[in-house]
Amino acid sequence: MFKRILGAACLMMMPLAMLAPNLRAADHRDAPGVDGAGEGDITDVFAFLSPNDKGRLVLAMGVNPFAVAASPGTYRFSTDFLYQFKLDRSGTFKEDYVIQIRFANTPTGQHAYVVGGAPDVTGAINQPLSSPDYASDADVGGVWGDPGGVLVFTGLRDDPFVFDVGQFNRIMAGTQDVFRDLPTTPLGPLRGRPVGSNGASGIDSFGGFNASFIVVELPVSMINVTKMMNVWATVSAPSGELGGFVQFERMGQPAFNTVFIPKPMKDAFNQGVPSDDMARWAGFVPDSLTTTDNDTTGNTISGRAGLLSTLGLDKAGVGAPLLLPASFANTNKNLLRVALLPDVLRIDVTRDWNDLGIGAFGLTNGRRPADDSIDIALRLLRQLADVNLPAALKVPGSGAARAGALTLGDPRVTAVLQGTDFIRADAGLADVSVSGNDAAFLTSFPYLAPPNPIPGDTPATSVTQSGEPQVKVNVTPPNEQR
Amino acid sequence: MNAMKLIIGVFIAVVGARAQAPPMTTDKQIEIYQKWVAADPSNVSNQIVLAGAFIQKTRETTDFGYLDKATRLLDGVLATGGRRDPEALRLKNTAEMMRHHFKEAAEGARTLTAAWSGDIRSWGTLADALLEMGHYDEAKQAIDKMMELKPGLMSYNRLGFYEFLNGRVDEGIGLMRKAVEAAAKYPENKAWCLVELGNQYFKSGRRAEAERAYREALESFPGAHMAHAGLASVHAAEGRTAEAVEEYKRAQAITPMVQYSAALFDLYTMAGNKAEADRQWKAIEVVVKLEAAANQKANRTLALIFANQDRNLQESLELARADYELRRDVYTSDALAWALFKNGRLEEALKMSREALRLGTPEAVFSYHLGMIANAMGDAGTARKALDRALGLNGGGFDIRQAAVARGALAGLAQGAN
Repeated sequence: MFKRILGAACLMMMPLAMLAPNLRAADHRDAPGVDGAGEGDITDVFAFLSPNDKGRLVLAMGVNPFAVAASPGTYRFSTDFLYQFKLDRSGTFKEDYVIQIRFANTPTGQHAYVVGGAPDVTGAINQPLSSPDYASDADVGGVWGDPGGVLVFTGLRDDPFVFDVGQFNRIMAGTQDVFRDLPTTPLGPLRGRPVGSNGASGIDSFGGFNASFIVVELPVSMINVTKMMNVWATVSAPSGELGGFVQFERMGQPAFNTVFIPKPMKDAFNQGVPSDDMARWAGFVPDSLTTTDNDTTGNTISGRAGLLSTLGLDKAGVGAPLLLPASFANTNKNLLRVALLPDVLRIDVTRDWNDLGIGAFGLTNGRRPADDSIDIALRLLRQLADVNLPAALKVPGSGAARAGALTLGDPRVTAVLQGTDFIRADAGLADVSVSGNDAAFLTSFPYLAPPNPIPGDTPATSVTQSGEPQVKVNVTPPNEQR
Repeated sequence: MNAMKLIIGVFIAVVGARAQAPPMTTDKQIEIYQKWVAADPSNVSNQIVLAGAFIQKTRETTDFGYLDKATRLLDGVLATGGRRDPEALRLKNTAEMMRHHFKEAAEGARTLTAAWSGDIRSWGTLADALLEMGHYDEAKQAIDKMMELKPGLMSYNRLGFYEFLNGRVDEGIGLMRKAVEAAAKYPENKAWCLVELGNQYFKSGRRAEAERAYREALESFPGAHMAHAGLASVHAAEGRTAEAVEEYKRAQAITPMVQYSAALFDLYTMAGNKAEADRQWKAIEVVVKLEAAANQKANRTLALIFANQDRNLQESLELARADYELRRDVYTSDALAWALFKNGRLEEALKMSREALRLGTPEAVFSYHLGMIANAMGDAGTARKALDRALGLNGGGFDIRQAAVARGALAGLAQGAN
């Protein structure tokens, strides 16, 4: 009844064009209710078979982006949050094995508790495992465990992600156009970074920074998987009355959230679960080109490859080589959607540890710290994403507007044009198995490079660099123990 | 080759136009989330994100139809199978705050913080509710807890406001600047903090800085109607009446808040534009009727408007008293003091005015009200001191019409002294 009265009142007063000016929120502070939480902000997730033993699976997740050794506040783990690796071995995109990690403060630093097993509940609201089949704990900042069983590392590491995110953000904001400056190419003066004396033009925004990592290595046999497995990581906060934890952050494939999820909807994405992804987010991923012309202009995979070559964007100095052959035989216009969604890493444990398997069943087969994930994604998108070019161009893709295609006005189109962010020298761009990280990776557990030290300090030279995992060795600078 | 030239031309044209993907508006989010709910009505998380978008839309428009929708969704979630989803509970608390159900919001936030002491958002809701209720010591404890948990957007802006309330303007401005920096990722929240920063600058007489903050707020979030109103107040204080009118009209076009109508009524009246002034007053009367239809009896904003205009004075007092029953912060005390004064109840007005000034808040209007009350009671010393302070804090910019009254009263006091 109240709504009817209000509605009538509004209609009566229509000439004043002052419909329902409500006062209740007008005179009290409606202060912001959001804030960042670096200790719950996943930087990256990795899943790969050990290069030293393909019978062992390595899982890693980072939090605390842009952590620096000089400031402990930038790299401590939350003692409230529940960190989890979630594994799906049955193809349902619902976790059937989880590894849960929690932290507690100690007088000298932090202590980590790790358990693994089948989850009591699945989804975005979780409970601590009631009957784990694995449990261990140790101080943060070292490796512990059984080299033949479960090995764990928690602590500060060099951030292995390599991406010129600064330039990417400028492109998204429209203040720059492409990654490398193109002043005299057939595309005209597209603004980008100049080539430096080292032959590269990109700047690794994460170079010199660290992140807090949780790395777990365990026998594949322990989790009873024989072929395919899906992996993602989550961070959850205590749920108060529920007595459990509610997920507020998740990640699977690199940069999916960054590129495809609109900023105001990122919370909704992060609170979601992979099994809902296709229904919720498929509409944000463009159609894929196929071998069939979808607009009578030759808008096929080979047509796109030809256009990129004609424009010189696959030539050294201008862009990266094509990743897929022009003859790539895709017939599924949803290929990008099924490769990117649900947002999980897919790993085939029967493949070699260094078999990237690009496009075989996802972006890649698992993800290794050294993979050039960004270049892989940029190149796949520039060759496969359907783009609606202006009709007057009369080139592949210049047909009538198509639902499901990106448009030339979308800055993501120019962002992928060159297929690389040019952080590495041009001569090496064909090899996407290396990203050009600023620090050398270890050849053994925990594989990630030691953290960048406090300026002026000597970099850590841990015994783990010799290749032998140690029990409770300190592989982080002493200052982290504060 | 012709195709190549065309491509070159189109790329240059498109890129030259600084093409950007269309922004994801709250309306668009609502449309998407509604599809999710329709496709999977049993998925609770779909309903919660939709409720969150409705609350954001309410925040942007102050149209409470959206809040009603959010509340219905949240009530449904919380009633389903006895499930107490914490996100739904937090959003419900936010909705209670927006409805001025401060006590309920505080109780809900206390429940959540008791269950999880690290829940900074619920500490924020608790602090907000306590600030509105005038429970400043408890509010400070909640804010301190937030600062302990994480110095950031949520904690800086609340502490900045608390510092301002307690007369520490420089500290307040410093903290609000930090809040602005921390809000960089959230355009609407950044704009909100910039408006708060601008307000503190303006109230302390730093008009140029205030104007910059308001303009930056509009760059961050063009729908920030409060920033338009802030600019209008700067223009009005500097005698740029036409510009002030335009800015208030822009604010009003985004959200027709009653105080914008009142400000325009004053500006048009002073400019001799009776027709437009009448039109604005009719807009205020619409609000009055809607409030009556909704049985809303508490409204300090309307109380102040009536008192300032010497209209509906009994109703002004009733509105202020009813609001005082809901919250006893310094702003409500001040509104009630002014309504009491206008109704000739000087002793009560003085007591309430002292209550409004109990923290030493540098609000010129508080001092103006005290000065006028003291003057009416024959306390020339207090009146002169308070009116001097009111006009000195921001050069009489707090309200151009009331500032003129203050100057007149001061002149009268000076004559009396001679």
